[in-house]
Amino acid sequence: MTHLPNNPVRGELVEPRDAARRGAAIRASTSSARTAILAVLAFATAQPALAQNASPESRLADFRTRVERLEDQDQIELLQASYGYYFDKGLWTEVAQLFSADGRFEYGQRGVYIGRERIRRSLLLFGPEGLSPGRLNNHMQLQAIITVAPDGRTATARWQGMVMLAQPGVNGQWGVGVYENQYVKEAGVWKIASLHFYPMAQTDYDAGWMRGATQMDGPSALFPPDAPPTEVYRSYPSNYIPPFSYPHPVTGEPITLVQPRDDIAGRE
Amino acid sequence: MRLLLAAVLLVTPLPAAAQMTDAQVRAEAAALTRRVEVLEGNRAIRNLQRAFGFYVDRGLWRDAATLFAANGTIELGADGVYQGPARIEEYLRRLHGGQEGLIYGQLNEWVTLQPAVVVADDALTATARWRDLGMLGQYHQHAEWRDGIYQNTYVREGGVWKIATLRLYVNFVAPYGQGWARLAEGEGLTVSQAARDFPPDRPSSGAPAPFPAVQVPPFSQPHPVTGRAVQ
Repeated sequence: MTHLPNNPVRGELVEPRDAARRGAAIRASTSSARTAILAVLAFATAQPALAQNASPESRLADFRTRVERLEDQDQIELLQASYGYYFDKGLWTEVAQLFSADGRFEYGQRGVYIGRERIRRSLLLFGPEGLSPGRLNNHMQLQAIITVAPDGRTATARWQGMVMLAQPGVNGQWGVGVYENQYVKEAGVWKIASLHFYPMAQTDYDAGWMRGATQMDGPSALFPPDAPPTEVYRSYPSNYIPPFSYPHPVTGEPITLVQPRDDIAGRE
Repeated sequence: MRLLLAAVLLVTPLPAAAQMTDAQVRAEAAALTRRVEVLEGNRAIRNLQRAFGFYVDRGLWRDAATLFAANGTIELGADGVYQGPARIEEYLRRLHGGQEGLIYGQLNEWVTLQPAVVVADDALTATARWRDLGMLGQYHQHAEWRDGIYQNTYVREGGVWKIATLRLYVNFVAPYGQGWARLAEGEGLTVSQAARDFPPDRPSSGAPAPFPAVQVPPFSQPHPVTGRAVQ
């Protein structure tokens, strides 16, 4: 089964000039665009004098764009790191304000909450506002692959999310998962347009992942989501693959996935 | 930010700009180009190595192997050196059971952290050191932690960054239940069955010294403050 990830970058053709200067960071996803880019790359490589002859104004504009795309990546890293630091400590109001007005929040199989106020209230399902004593809610935000659209208005990122949980009187939990997020820049400020955390495995601390496998929570009856889960899957010991938002950094091709069979979810 | 300021300085003070000769403007633009390429290269290399981790995590052996240059090499722990994307792909596949993807109950998280990236001034080559944190196992059979350090090199070919050499110095693979502190000498790292059945192109580059022995993978980067090589 082939998955084409839901990605605002995908489908937009990368300007050859962009592709040439960004190297592996952003690649077009269609082979015709790739051919065009490769042709331009070869041309640019063969004729370095061409760039030298561009007017100072156009070269400055080019620098400005390239520096802005680098700054965009820093800002998105800061945004997502802040999400993690706030989420860890139950600062739900701060978390919710990282989202755009129609932002989407989806954690595992809990379904999708849409909009800041709905997101803020849904976060109370993870505990009260402000972490209470004896609770640990660490959600690390690691290993970012950030892809900013050539126009600098949207972006995607994949993150590795290790999790350490505790509550009074019970064993701790280890978890690990993947984020596939979308971002939008509004009035010069990057915000989370969609956060989707795919837990991959969760286990009791003492049992470890040889003997323990905790499944994900489903949609809350107490505060139902605005939409059902966008992807239905089971975590470890099954091995679902969260679709990739970015093309392969070297080949430029989208990643083709074969998901594990699941008779209940209806995957062949 | 410094680059942006430099760019702004070039634009704003018109009288000053007027005083720059064409040659000076060209030279400044060329210098800025190199600096931006180094910054972009740093980002591209982070994406490249992190993509390797994300692909191996999910059993996508071909996608992981095609991140390497045509003569790129991989060396994991005590297994020796495999060269070229085709050999690397087959080695990775065999190392994980021989099948495409993971099998039911297989956990294979290669968490890739703490990049120390140095891109050459010409933005054509780079080195990076990374921390590896592995969560490995097979449900109801075994579970391990892995600790390691990558010391890698990268090359930019046709504008695209690729992995030139990847070496993972495995410090230990420890059973989850007993933890790393109870490892005896030599328990923390062994040659994989995959490397016995599918021998490497070259033997191991050096005798690995896993925990509890002390192993300091050589630093290819100079000390960032003193600028001297770290022994």
